[in-house]
Amino acid sequence: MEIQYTINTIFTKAMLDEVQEIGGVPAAIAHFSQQIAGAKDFFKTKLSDYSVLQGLIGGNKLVATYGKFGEKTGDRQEGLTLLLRDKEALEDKLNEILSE
Amino acid sequence: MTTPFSVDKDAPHRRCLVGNEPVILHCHHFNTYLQQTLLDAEYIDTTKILIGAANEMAFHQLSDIFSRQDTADVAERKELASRLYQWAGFGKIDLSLLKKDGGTLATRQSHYSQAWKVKLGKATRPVDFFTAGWLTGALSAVYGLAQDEFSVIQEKCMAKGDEQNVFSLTPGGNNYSVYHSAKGGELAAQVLQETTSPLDEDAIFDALQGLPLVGDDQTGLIEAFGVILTHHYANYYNRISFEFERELAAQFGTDGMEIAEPLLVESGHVCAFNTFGGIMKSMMWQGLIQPQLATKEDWVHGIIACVYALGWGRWQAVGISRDEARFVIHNDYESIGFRAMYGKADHNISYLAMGSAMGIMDLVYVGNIEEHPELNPAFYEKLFKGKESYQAKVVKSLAMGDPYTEIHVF
Repeated sequence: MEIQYTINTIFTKAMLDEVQEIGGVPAAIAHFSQQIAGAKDFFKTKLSDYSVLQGLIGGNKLVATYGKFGEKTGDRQEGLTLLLRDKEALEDKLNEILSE
Repeated sequence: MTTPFSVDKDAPHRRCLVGNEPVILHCHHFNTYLQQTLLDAEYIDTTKILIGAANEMAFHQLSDIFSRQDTADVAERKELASRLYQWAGFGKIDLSLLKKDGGTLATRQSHYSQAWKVKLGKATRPVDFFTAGWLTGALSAVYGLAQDEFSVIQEKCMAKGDEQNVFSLTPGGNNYSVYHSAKGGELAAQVLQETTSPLDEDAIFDALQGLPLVGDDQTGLIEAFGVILTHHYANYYNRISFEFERELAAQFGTDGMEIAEPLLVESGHVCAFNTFGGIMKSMMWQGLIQPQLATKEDWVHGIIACVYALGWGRWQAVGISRDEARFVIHNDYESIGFRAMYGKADHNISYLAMGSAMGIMDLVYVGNIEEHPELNPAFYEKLFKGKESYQAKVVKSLAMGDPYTEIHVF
């Protein structure tokens, strides 16, 4: 399940530092801005073993993919529960960041 | 992900080799569609081609790697082979389950079986011919046996609804065609054209190399740009496509050739629609490529720059307008493979390139991809089968002896 979020501000590196705490591992960042003039850095960060968030530092759109193709998450209900948990965690964190 | 094998990038030619085999990125749409095209031709036994081509690739690639690394330990070889399979995005396997006298291997992660079920629905028979063949070649390479030592049967398949894929390998004879790899082939000198591209294509190529497009630790699959990718073998695609065409020609003569071309070109369409469409809608594109684009023609140059990262050879586009474009492809993988396998061609064989070139123009000028339309079957029909859809003609063919392949799209 893919959901695109549009936020009403620019997504910064500091915001990414906070979001990546959800998954507990550092985000993977492609430093395009250092390689091409005018490019924005692209990141991908884990929300859990099943879900990831992608976006651009300096952009205002984020794309969350809840669920991983091919990953076995137990029965369907258990799988949905896990994905909804990831969705809730991200949205709570975004609300927290954006209200600061 | 560090790998126990070398991934050799040839930047000037926009190629990548592992174990002296050219590897290219292709998506699950192309992989399943191309396989289904072959399977639908029930008057030919294409399963022996599918399994045999995979056997060929695994055996020769792994034999090359083991030889270069001077790795003789069987356990180490099995581990390396298993990791290569995962790195490539084919899924996950544990080769330690197989022995010198064969055995049974089960896995719950398979690109082909899982992709088949998602794209084409429930299968009526096992469909992971690629892994079946790959295992026979890999096991032979691990133990230093003859390439065709093992026969293989896929007994269970997740595409059919089984819990896992199960393969049984038995020594003493093959049940597939046996081929001998063309490996990297011979490259032609590049005659680069002047283009109006506003992009720093070398910098983009370097930037894209840093993207972590490798098999996931848990699933062994590569999810990116809305598709499931594989670092697949150029010569696997070449072998199955060209043997398919040859079988049709053997059965039906020139009528057979005429059947093959549109089917194989359509596979290229399917690839372009899904992979290129997905790339042009992706966050990566918005960050790296889109800031440099001002016109629709720039979008064509932009996706060409991304094609570089796929390992398909060095593409260029010239004379781009809404009416037409010329795609000049230096060392296209189809031509390189064909010439190495069969010698000079007497007809055009760059089918994937044709379909992809048309696909690019259809996405940009008919599909208005910059508006991020949904890439669904109805949109595919509109783009590729509507009255505005582009056509292609190959005006130069490297396989036929020209210095490069050139495709006129109009």
